[in-house]
Amino acid sequence: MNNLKRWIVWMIWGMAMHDPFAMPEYLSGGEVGSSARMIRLGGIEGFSLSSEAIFQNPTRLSLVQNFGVSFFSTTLMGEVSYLNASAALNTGFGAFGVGFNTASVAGIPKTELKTENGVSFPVEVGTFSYNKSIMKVGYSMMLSQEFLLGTAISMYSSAVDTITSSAMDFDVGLSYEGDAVAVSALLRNITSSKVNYTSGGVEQLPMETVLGGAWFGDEFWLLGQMKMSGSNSTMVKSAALNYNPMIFSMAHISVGYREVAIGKQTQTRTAVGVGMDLGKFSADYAYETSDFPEYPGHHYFSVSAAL
Amino acid sequence: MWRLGFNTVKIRELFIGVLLMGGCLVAFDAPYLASTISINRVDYGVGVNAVQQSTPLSDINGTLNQDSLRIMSVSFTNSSALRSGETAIELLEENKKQVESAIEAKVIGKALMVPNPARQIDEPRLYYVLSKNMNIEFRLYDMMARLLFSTTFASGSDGGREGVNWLKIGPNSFEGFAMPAGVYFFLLMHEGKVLAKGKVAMIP
Repeated sequence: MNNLKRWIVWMIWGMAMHDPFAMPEYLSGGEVGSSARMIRLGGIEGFSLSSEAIFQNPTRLSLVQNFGVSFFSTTLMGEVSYLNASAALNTGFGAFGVGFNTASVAGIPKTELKTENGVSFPVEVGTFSYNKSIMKVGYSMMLSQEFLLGTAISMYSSAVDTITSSAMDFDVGLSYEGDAVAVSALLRNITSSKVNYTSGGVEQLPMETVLGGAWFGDEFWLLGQMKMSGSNSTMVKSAALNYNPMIFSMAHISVGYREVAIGKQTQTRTAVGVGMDLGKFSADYAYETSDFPEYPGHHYFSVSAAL
Repeated sequence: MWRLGFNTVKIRELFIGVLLMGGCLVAFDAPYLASTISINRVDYGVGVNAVQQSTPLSDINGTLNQDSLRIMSVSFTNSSALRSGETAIELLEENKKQVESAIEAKVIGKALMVPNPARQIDEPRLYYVLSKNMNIEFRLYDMMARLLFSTTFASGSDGGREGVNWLKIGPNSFEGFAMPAGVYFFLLMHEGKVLAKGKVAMIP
């Protein structure tokens, strides 16, 4: 129990003591979400039952039955290819998980300045691609019937034209699983590692603190979350309502609301979606609003399996 | 002799300005030329403000390399004798509006950031050519489709000017927001319509 108290103190300390460094912060590319389920639930992390938990709170890898896989892919604004895949194995020594996330853009015009007759103008001299990826390896164990502990190693990498970067950091989480109430706490990128680029530039992985709670009723679930990220310590909130009708218990209908942080600013997103639990398989769909004029909303699909 | 409306207007500018105004009217609608000439009588106080302006092409340093004069205003100090003059101005303005509205609002060619990829600290520039003066809304999104920045450039000002526009993306461009390395998508919009879009990669 003393250990638990220590963990809780550490979480609270994490909320209060964000690094005030002004170094540019790394945009990991994983901010979209790890599944359509997560998006339809307002981007709330830490209450997954599948292997995607490796990207949220790794503690819940322990709740995966035997072996699980999850897959999520989408295209944002018609330009960004986004993919999220994970697998988890629950053993007698705890649960292990691996995950891979990538976001890439192709066909970016490479330009140079050209001057003719005293007039300068840009010319396209080719194209290049951009890719960001995260590789995660995690472990979770049950401290008791109610408390779960988990950790994950995150390996970040990116490549733009001929410039590359890499960095590594750790996540640590704690979860409480009651009969109808669950609480999730996570510290992501606890060391706020530096990301070194081959161009000589440096960024910093933003430390994130995520606290969430959920109430699971017979037909309705209520979920909420607070997330603090980066040197700006911008706090964003999320909330979701999930309806699981008794007469059609395999279906879930939800509406979610979330704030997203842009520096010190926040924007809001609203999502609706449905999920289907089909025995060992589950599928989710989410629609989330967007500010991008040509794509005023994005559609997301994801599937997972517990074998 | 000409009686000038205000002393700051040089006779040379006045002469060139009136010639230009007359030229514009000839080009826009010849029948209005007669009324224009009629306002240039000795007993009318006439002032013409003409400004030097750049032609659409300028270099990266913003140095004007071709100049021209544009009539900005024509004023009359003898208000009791302005009836015919007012008509001429209205016709001139009307002609200007007609010509402007007849031009399709568009970005000519591609909008490109140079250099690309770029560092924010190196102040890369966005280059685009507008078919006419118009209000331009500039939007910038990150890879996660999050709107980072939005602003509107007024018609005729930097960013909303006919011809070449150069927009600098520097460390202070977005209220001091340090852009993380990544790909960003920009949109140039006019009256809710996307005229051009592009992508730029930022590196630290």
